[in-house]
Amino acid sequence: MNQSEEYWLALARAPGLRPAHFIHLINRFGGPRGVFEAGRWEWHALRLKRDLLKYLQNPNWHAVENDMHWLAQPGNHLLTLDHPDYPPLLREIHHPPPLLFVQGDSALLKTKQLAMVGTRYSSREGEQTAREFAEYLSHLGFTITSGMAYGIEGASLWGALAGTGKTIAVAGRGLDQIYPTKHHDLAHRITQTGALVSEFPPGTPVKRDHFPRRSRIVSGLSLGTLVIEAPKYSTALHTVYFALEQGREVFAVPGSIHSPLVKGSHKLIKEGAKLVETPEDILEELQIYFF
Amino acid sequence: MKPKNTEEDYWLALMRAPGVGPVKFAHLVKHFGSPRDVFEAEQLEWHALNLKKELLNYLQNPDWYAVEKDIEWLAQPGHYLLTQHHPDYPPLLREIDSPPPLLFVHGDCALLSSKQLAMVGTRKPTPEGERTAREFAEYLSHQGLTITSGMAYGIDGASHWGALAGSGKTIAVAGTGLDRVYPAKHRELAHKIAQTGALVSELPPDTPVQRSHFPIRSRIVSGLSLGTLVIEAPKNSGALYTARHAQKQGRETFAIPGSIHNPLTKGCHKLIKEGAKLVEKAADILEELRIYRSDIAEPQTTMLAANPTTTESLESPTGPTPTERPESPTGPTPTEKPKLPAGPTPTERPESSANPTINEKPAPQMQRVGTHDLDNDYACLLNYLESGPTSIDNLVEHTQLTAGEVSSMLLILELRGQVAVQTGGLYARIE
Repeated sequence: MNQSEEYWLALARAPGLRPAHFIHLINRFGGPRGVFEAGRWEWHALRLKRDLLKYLQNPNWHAVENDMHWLAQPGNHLLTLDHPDYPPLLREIHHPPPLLFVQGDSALLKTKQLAMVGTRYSSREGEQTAREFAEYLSHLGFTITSGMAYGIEGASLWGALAGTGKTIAVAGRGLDQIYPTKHHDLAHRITQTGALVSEFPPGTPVKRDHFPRRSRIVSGLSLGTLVIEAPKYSTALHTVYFALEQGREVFAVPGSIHSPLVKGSHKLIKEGAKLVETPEDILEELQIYFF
Repeated sequence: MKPKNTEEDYWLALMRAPGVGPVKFAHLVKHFGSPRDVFEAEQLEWHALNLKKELLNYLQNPDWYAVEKDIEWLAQPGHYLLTQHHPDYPPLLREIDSPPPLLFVHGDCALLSSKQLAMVGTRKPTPEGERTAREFAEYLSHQGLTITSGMAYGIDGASHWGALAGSGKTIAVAGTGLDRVYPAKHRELAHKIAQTGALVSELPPDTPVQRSHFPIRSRIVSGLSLGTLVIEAPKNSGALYTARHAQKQGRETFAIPGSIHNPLTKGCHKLIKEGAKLVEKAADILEELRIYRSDIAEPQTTMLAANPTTTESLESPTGPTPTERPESPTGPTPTEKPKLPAGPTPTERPESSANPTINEKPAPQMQRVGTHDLDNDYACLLNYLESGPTSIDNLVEHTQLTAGEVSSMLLILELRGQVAVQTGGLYARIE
């Protein structure tokens, strides 16, 4: 058993420790193990929060053991930030997730990905567009990456499954957690030819503030983000703003000006996102990465 | 030659000279001084210009009969001729490459110098497209823009009707002489436009319909206007001529998007990809043409400032949009900045991809933390946070520290439990 992995897992469970802190601490102490072994004097010098101090003295080894148990199952993987298989594009972002739990084909995380996002309350036409684009783009060599929300995201994942099957779903909860019943089958299918990814250890329930964090991974893994149907206040736009911040391409499919479902998409186009009518429009922009 | 011939007569006569288009016309007038001088020049001077034989013949024997007809038409009330030398010749049109030497006008001549928006599109629009054209035209005409178009079926006609329902200020540029109406079914429309707007043509009254006239007409439609709005245009729509002319003339181009499955929007989408502004509501146009109502602030256009109120300042003619379904109960609203701080903190960012985390054991900032000045900075930061949650940008502005410094200080304060990040990336002080 890899001793170092256990320290990564233990540190990941430290209370209130966001990726930025995690990275800060391991940089200072030379790795997760170093953090735990630094000792009280060093911790106090940093004037760490009390509950963090407490945790460092008494890590939750029981939970770590459970994580290790989950990881021992076939198809389950852990990618730490220093792992050679950690996806390089994700490593480039500001405060990347220190750990990724993967269920399925972990090599897929290093492939060229296109993020596809959109509203949960999509129109039938929007879902059809998402499915068709995802299927076609997967045949063009893209891995389709998305969250696993209802509507556009689910349709994109299904489309990719109908294509090459190479698709990545980023979850906002631990990968052992049960998915909304409607997506049970989808999650299962993805683990067979694609990959489920989460920065949250097994056992983590879904939480409000997990969604923005998930979005940043969806965009961070991908060369670009395609928006299909996003109303003005869509959470799909989070993914886009992360993509912009991460210096990635943004694409949007337009629609009728009378449809509230594309107000967000149109806003993006006005701000400089590329208007997309066909999958070729995306390939045109991203093909430099293919040769 | 009759001595009573006026300058206008010579303009009209020269316009009818065979093989003389706007370019040749301008060239001749420039060379000789005025149309009259062209006709009154010596044969030798004509020959020196290497003019074609039929033109030479015409110059010796102009079609005064036709000119007389033109004059007769012009004598009727509401009919005008604007030569390029006329003070009322529309200034924007004068700027374009080879402007028409003459304009025949039926209606309100002064309208040609008003601020105009060209609205064009397919002859076979969807009902939705037609409605959009009517609504935009009506609303924008109330905002002080004259709506200019080509009086064709479909979007052109709907735009004129919309403007007539609004302020009534609309200009139709015809591809025929103004003594006839094309298409014939637009007789009533033409009649109405002549009452409160203006019909314009560079062609003399008796000119029949010719296909070749339509692309030429487009350059006048766009040339008269500050910008051109395209509503529904398939891939090879004639409406795109107008947009092309607008681009060449350095005017704004606007296009309304639509479903990617609708062939009638292919032309519009192409224009947007090429840089035309995507238009959802009338405010998008007014914003660009800098016709602000005094109570409206200048909109901001930064990519990350996702403040939707700026584009909503003017309500669209399409009326209030249906209430949007709340997208999700989770996460911050898009009016707030994304969660990650904008300013990079280079020292903390793993630079080398091979071994991103295990380098440089003592982080440089941490060593600086103990110094007196830095403590002051921390105090200053905390002090500022007293007044409520705020963004990194704000803190940078008020502390004279760099974004990198502020963000790493916040990180440390957060580790100490003195500040917390709220949803939306705002930092708040906690006690």
